Amino acid sequence: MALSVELLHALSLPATLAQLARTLEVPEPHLRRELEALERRGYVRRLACAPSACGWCGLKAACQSSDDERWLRS
Amino acid sequence: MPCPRCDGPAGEPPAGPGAATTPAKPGTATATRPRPRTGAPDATWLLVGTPNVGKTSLINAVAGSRLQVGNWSGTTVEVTTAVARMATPDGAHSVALVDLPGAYSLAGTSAEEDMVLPVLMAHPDALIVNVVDATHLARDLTLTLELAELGRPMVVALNLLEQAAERGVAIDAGVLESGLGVPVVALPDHRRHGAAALAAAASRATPPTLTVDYPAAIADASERLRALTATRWHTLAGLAGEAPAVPATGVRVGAAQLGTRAAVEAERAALGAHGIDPFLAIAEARYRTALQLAATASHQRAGRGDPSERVDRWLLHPVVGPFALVAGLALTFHLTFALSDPWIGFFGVVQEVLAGWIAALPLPTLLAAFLAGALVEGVGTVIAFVPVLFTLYVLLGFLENAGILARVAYLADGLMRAVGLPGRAVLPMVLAVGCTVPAVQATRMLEERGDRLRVALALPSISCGARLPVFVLLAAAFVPAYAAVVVTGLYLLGFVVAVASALLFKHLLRTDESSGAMELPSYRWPPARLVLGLAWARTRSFLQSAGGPILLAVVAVWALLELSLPNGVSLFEATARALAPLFAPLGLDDWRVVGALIPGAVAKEVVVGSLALTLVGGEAVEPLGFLAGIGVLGVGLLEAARDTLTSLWGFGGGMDAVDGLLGERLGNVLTTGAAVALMVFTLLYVPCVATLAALRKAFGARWALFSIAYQTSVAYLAAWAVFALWP
Repeated sequence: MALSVELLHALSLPATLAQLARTLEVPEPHLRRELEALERRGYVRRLACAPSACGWCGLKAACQSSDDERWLRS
Repeated sequence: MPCPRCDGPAGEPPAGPGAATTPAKPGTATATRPRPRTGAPDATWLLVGTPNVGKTSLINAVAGSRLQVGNWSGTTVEVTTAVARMATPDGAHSVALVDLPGAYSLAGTSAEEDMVLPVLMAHPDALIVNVVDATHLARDLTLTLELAELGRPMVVALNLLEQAAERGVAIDAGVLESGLGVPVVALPDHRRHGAAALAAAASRATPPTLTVDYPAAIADASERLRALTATRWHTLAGLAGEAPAVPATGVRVGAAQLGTRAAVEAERAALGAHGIDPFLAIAEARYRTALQLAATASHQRAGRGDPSERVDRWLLHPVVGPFALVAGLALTFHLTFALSDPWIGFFGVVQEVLAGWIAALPLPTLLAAFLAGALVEGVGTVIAFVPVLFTLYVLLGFLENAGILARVAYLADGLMRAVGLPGRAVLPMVLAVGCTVPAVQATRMLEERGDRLRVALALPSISCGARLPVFVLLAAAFVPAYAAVVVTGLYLLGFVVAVASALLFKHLLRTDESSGAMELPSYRWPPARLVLGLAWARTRSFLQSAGGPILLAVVAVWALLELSLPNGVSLFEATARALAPLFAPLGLDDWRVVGALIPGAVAKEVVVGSLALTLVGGEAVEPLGFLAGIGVLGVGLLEAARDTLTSLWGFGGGMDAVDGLLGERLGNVLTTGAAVALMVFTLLYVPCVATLAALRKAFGARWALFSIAYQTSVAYLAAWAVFALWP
C-alpha cells in the first residue's frame, strides 16, 4: 500500500518505469505490477509515445524515444 | 486447518523447495530440507518484510543455514524454512524460521506476494517477525501497520541500519518500540549476534498498540463490519476493494457463505456516495501514520549528514543560489556553443559537398533546384543545428540526472511563491526549456483549473530547444563574442515574461492557488552512457518527429519561392512584402526576414531554413567530383574533431562556424538592434502548432486562439521596445 501511495505522489508528472525505479529504489518488475494494479483501479494511465499515435506526441523532447512509455496519475 | 503452503497441519512450519541442505552445527542451529517429521520445533517465527530487506540473510545468520540469498529483490519465491536452536530467557528452544517471499503489502500484486497472507493466517500461533528496512522506514512501517491489524504478537527487526547511517540517518529503536507498542530489535552488522536479542524480544512479544487514524467514515464502516471478518485488516481490505484470496483458510473477505460480501459492498457504496475513495483513504491514512512514526524515530546526524545537504546549503542559499543558477545557465550555453560549433561547421561542409555533387549530376533544372535548394540548403541548414541540440540535451540530461534541475525548480519555487504563484508551477516551466508540449501536459499537476490554465498560457514565452538554432545563428552573426551571454539573457527574458504573464492571468482569472511540496533527490554523478543515451534518444526523436513538419514547411517555402506572379515576383516574396510594413517599427523591414517568420509558426527552427533559402539559396554552386567531395568531407571531419578538442582544452566559446555566408547576408539586411529584436520576437511570438494542439486539447480552441493573439502581441511590444531602446 505504501508503494501505491508513493507511486501516486511520484506520478503527478509523467515518468517512465525506469525513472520511477530510480526514484523509489524499487525494482522495475515490482513497480510494473503495482502500476498495472493501480491502472486497473483507474488511478494511473499510460502515455504512449508511439509515433503512430499522433504526429506530434513524440515531437522533440516530448518523448525520449519513439517507444517510450510514461505513466501519469489519472 | 491445513496450511496452504505446507503439507502438514497449521501451526507447523512449512517446508518448501529451495532450502539448501546444510550440515548441522552442534549446539546452534540446523537448516533442514526436508524437515524431519519427528521432533517438531517448539515455536514458529514467520519472517515478513519487503523484498530485499534481508530476511533470508537473517535466517541464515541465525540458523547457520544456506538458504538462497541475492543482492536483488525477489530472491525468495517459495516459502522456505530453517530450524534454529535459540537460547531464550526460559531456556533453549528449537525455532522454525519461516522465510516468506518479500511483499510491500499483505494484498499482493504477484503470486509470490500472495503466498504471504495465507501462511500468516494458517499459523495463528506463530510469532510474526517483521524485518524492516531502515533506509525506507516509512514504506516498511506501512507494512508493519498492516501486520498490526492482524492483531497478532509480533517483533520488529530493524535491518540495514548501516546503509541508513551512510545516508546520515540514525534511527532510535526505543522510540519505534514505544510508538508501535511491540519489541523492536536493531540488528547489528553481524546479524548472528542479533539472535539473542531476537530471542529475548520474542519472549515479550505482544500485539501492537499503535492504530492508524482512519477518516471517521472509514473507521465507522470498519466497526460495523468488524464482527463479520477474521481480522481488522480483512475488514479494511474489503472496504478498500482488495479482497485478498485466501481460499484455503475460509476467511476471505466477501466469502458468500459468511454473507459478508453484500455488507462490504454496501459500505463501499455508501462511502463512494459521500465522495470517499476507500482505497485511497485507507492507503494514505496508513502511509501518513507510518511517515509520522518514521519521522519521530529517525533524525539526520549533525555534521555527517547527506553530502547532498552540504552542497544544498550553498546552492539553495537565498542569495548565493540565484547567482549560481544564472552562472550555471550561462556556463551551460557557453559549453553548448563551444562543443557544438565545430560540428555546425562540419555540417556546413557537408551541405557544400552535397550541393557540389548535385551540381555535377545531369539532372533536370527543377529537380536540381529542389534538391539543392529545398533539401540541402533549406532542410540542411536546420539539420546543421542538430549538434547544438544534441549538446544541449547532453548537458540538460546531466543536470536532470545529477539532481541539479530539481534544485533549479526548488530555487524558483521560492521565488514564485513570493510573487503569489503556485510553487509547483515551476516544474512545467523547467520542462519547457526542453519542449513546450510536455510542459503544457505537466500543468495537470496543479489542482486548480485556473492555475493550470494561466501557467499553460505563460509557458510559450519560455524558450524551448527549437528556438535555439535561431538564437545561435543570429548571435553568431551579430554578437559572436557574447553569444552565450545573449542567449542566456534571452532564456531569462523568457522566464521573466512567463512569470509576469502568469501573474497577469492570475488577476484576470482570479483563482485560488494550488498547493504541493517540492521534493529534492540526492545528488549523484550520472553515468556517461545514460546521459549520452538520453541525449541521442531525444535528438533522434527530434529528427524523426519534428523532421516531417520542418521538411513540409521548408518545401512549402521553396515552392512558394519558385511560383511566380505575372510580374515575376514569387508568391512568397509578394506575401512577405505585404506584411513587411507591419514589422518596420521592429527594424525588420526586409521581406526575407519577415517571410521567415511565417513558416516559423509551424516550428521555430524553420525560421533558419527559410532564411537560408531566401538569402543564400539559388546561388551558383561549382560542380564537385565524388572523390574531391570525399576529401573535403574528410578534412572537415578532422577539423571538427580538432576544434572540439581545442574548445575543451582552451575552453573556447566563440561561434565561428555559423558566421559564414548566411551570417554575412544577414548582416546586409539587419542591424544589430534589429537582429536582437528578431531574436526577442522569435522567442515570444505565436506558439508552434504542436503547442497549440496541446493547449487546445487541454483547455479548448478558444484558449489556443487566445494564446496566439497574446503571444504575438507580447512579442511585438517586446521586440519594438528592444529595437527602440537599442543604442
